[in-house]
Amino acid sequence: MAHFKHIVLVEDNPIDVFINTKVIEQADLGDVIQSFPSARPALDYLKDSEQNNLALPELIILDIRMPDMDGFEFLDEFGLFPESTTEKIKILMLSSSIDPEDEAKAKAYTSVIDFICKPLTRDKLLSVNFNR
Amino acid sequence: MKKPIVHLFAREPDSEEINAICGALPDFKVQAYSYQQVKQSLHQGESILLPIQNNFEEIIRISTELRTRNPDSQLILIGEFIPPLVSFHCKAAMVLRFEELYLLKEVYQELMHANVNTANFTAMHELQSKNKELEKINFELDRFVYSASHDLRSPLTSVLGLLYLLRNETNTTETIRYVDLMEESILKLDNIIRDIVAYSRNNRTQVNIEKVEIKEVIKDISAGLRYLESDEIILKEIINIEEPALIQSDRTRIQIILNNLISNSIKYRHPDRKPKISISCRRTENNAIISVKDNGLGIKEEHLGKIFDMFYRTSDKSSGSGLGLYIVKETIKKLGGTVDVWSEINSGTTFTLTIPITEDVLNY
Repeated sequence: MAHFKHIVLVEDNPIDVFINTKVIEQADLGDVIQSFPSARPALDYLKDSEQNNLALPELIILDIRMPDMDGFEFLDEFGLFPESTTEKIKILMLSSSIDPEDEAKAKAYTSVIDFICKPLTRDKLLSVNFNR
Repeated sequence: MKKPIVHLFAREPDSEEINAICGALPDFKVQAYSYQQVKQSLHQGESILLPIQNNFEEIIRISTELRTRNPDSQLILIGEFIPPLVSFHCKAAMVLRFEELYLLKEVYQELMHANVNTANFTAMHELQSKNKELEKINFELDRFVYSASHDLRSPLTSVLGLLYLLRNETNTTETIRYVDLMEESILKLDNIIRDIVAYSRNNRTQVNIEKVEIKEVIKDISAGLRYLESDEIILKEIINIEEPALIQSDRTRIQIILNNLISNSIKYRHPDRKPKISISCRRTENNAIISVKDNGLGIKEEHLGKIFDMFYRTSDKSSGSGLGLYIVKETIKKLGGTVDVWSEINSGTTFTLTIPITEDVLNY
C-alpha cells in the first residue's frame, strides 16, 4: 500500500470526515490527514502553500457534491496551478454519486488517479493504483 | 375531402425553396403568391405561410400589414432559424423549421377527423409548446433522479461507513451479527436506488454506440460487486470469460444488463457448490450473442414466463426490488436486441442476449 506524508481531505459532511479519516488511519495511508469542510478554503490553502514555498500535500481526497464550490469546480481551479505544483499532487475522487457521467468526467482530469464510490473502505483504498 | 388551402407568400413563386415547401405539404392546396396577390386573395381565418429568408425586417412589415387587413388569419413562419423577436413581432401562430412541416399535416388531419373545417392553428401552437414543455420536464426529471439518488445515498453511505468501522472495532459475535443484518438491509435499499436510477437512465438517455470491450465491462462490474458482497467472493475465480470480445454497442447499457445478470447469479447461487459464472460472446452475421451462464439455484418453469415483468419476484426469499430483470428487458429493447432464458431447477440458469451490431468490429 502506498504511503503519503500529507493527505488533504475535502469533504463537507462531518460524519464522512470522521469515517474517512479513520479508514485512512487504519489503512496507514498517510502521516498527516488534514480536512477541509469545503472546496474554497482547501484551494486557498494550496495557493498559500504554493506561493510561500511550503510543503504541499501529496494526495487530495475530494468529494464531488459540496455546497458553494463542487469537486469539479475545484478540479478546474486546481488545473490553473503551475504544472510544477499539479504534477506533485494526486487526486482521488470519493463520492456517493452513481452517475457514470460523474465518474467519466472526473477521470478525464489528468490529476485524478481514481474514483471511489462511498463508503470508503480499506479494500477500496487497496484497489487504487496510486502510482498512476 | 377538399384539401385545405394554405397561402404561401413568395417573392419568387417558382423558386426551389417554394417548390420544396409545396412538396412537403402534399395534403394541402398550396397557393404561392407574390405579396400583392396574398393580400387580395386572403379570406377570413385562412392561413399564410411565410418562408423566412434573411430579410427579417421585410417579413415583420408584411406580417403586420396582413394582420391589420385580416386579423383572424393564422401566420406560420418557416425557416431554419427564426429569432424569437421576429416571431414575436409577427405575432406568428407558430414557427416551423422546414423539416417540421409534417406537424402541419398532423394537426390538420386531427382537425379534419373532428369535422372541423376551419383550421385552428392554436391547437398546433399548443402541440408545439406542449412538446417543448415535455422536453423540459424530461430533462428536469433526469436531473431530479440523479440529484435525489445522490441525496438518498449520502446518508446511506455514511451509515455503511460507520457499520464498516464498527465491524472492525468489535469482537463480540452478537454485535457482528447485528452489523451484518443492518448492512444487508441498507444494501437492499441502496440497490433499489441504483435500480431506479438505471431504469430512469435507460428511458431518458439516447443510445450511444461505441466500441465495447466485454472483458473491460466485466472487470468494472466485478470491481463494483466486490464492495456489495459482504461474504467476500473472489469474483475473478468465478467469472470466466471464454473469449475476448469486442462489440459495437452502448457501453453503459451493456454494463447495466450484465451487472444485473451477474448480480443475480451471485445472489441465487447454489449453497452446496462453488459458484461459477461463465460469460461467452460470439457473433452471427448481424448480431452479437452474449450468454451469462451460472450453476446456481435455477428458476422454476412456472416462473420463467414472468421473471421479466416489473416488480415480479419469484418468492419472498428474493431480496431485490423486482426491477432487475425488467431493467434488463427494457434496456436490451433500447439496443434493438432480445433476451432469452434457459433454466433448470438445481442445475443453473443461462441468459442469452442477442444484440444487433452494425459494423464489423470483431476482427480481433
